[in-house]
Amino acid sequence: MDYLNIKHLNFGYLKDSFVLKDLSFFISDYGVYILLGRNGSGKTTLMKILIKYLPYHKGSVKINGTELSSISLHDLSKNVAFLESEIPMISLKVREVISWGFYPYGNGGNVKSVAEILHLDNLLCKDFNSLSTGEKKRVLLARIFAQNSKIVLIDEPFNFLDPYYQTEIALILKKLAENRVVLISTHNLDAAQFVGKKIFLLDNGRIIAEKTGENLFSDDLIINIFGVDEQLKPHFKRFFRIKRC
Amino acid sequence: MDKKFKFYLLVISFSLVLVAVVSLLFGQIKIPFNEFLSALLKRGGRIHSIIFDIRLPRFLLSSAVGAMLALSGLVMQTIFRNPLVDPYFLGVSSAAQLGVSIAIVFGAGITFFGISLASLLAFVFSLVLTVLLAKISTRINAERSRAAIVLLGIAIAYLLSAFNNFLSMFKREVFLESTFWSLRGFSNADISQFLFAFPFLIIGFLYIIFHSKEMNIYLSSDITAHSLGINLRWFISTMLVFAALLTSVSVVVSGSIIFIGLFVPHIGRILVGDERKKLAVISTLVGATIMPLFDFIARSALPSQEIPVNVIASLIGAPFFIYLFFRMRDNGLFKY
Repeated sequence: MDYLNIKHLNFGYLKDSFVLKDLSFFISDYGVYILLGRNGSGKTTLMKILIKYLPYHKGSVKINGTELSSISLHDLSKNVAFLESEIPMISLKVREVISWGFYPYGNGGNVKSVAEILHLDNLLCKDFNSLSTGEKKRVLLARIFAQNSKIVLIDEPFNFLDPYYQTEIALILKKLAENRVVLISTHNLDAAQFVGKKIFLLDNGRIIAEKTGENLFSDDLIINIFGVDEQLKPHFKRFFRIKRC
Repeated sequence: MDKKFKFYLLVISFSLVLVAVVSLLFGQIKIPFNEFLSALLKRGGRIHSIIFDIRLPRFLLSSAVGAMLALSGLVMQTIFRNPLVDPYFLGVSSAAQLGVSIAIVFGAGITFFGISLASLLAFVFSLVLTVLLAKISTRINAERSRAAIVLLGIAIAYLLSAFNNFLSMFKREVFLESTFWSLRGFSNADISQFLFAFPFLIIGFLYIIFHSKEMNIYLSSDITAHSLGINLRWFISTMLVFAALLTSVSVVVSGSIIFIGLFVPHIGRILVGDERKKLAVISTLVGATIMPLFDFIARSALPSQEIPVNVIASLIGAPFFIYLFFRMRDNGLFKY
């Protein structure tokens, strides 16, 4: 049975204008999966649909074999966890933020063991707002660990992070994916290459390619996706070649 | 429980008891402590009557109203994620005042089972408004239109006060009496008003305490709350209903009292931080302590007459709040 199976999904914010058009893909194995596409290609929209924050009009979405529309919000939160790309302002203790993962059955004892996995033990009593961006991201990921759902959606996990924290977050994602399906969206191709098991290329509201294997990005493919015009092409290629080696 | 919370819990509880004793002993007539003790033990007599028929109901009522307004303000500021909203933003007091005006048109003296028509209509009108707001807030797209709920509340308040003014055109005493009604404070408090208000306070308090985790999560972002299984529409509308209900009840028993609903939650935040369970407990206690204190000052500051409690609330409350604000080193007060 597939953890996630999406068939012919359509969605539009306005009538007759579709953000997602006939989108289909499935995930049947643990690992980190990457949604790659330009700004506005529908990555975040897709994630919002998967947590029922947005309704879908046509097509089917199955989570662990059950149609999404027949799963209650409460049950869904036990199956699908979601982390938004923005880092919210939270003037609460780190301990409290991690404990949200256990909602509504929160208990303080488990927070500590989750915090230990991500080496956050010494931050537990600090104010979330006082942490650095990288630490905040780690705390929010600890909340995802606590939520303990089989599917995890993370919107742009590498945003706002320096290379050190990007690496650290990538390792955490790998750890999460040991016994979960982790679907992330990102524009960070290096990190995607490092963590990704499979890449779904999203363009104009549909999946146009799925890539697996060692060399996930050939330059032409990236240029195709991001639609770089002829003039920029040589620069674009050089930029990525420099960055990669 | 952290130390800071425990400390303030103790300090404020002690202050509440202190305010209670002071407001029972002092006033236009000063009761010596030994007479106070003997009056506690034996019934009858003038002292006993002053304590139990006048001062105790007044203390209890003002304390309950302070707690209700503080809680209501806390909920409103949380739901709208805005430090500037207060309990009256939903138009509750205008609704109550219109009810009173209509009652005055029919005749001010009418009572049902000992309840005045004015209070009855005030309560009914504010309940109708509450139900209306609940309906509106579940209908519209909750995640985008919180500002719309406030605007609708203000629009409804304008509409209601237009009706109110319209009524005053035809019967002149309507304006004067309904204004007096909404500013009356606790000058004719009695124990039945407290018995009416107290259950609402308890239910509201418990509901808010049991949903404090949701409030914490809700403050971070809508989508996070949603993804953790919180039904936003349900959450927002029930919270608003409780806020409106607490405000309605307090308006019915004592008119519109300013300051408490807006500032007490901030005093709470300065003392114990943003965690909603602790904040709700502390705000409730601070409200329950400050309101009878203000009322005590209002009735005993001048030798011959009472000062309206709203005047005292602004006169003492505002400088106190400004002092607290500047004393605090890191004021994240206006961030939400």
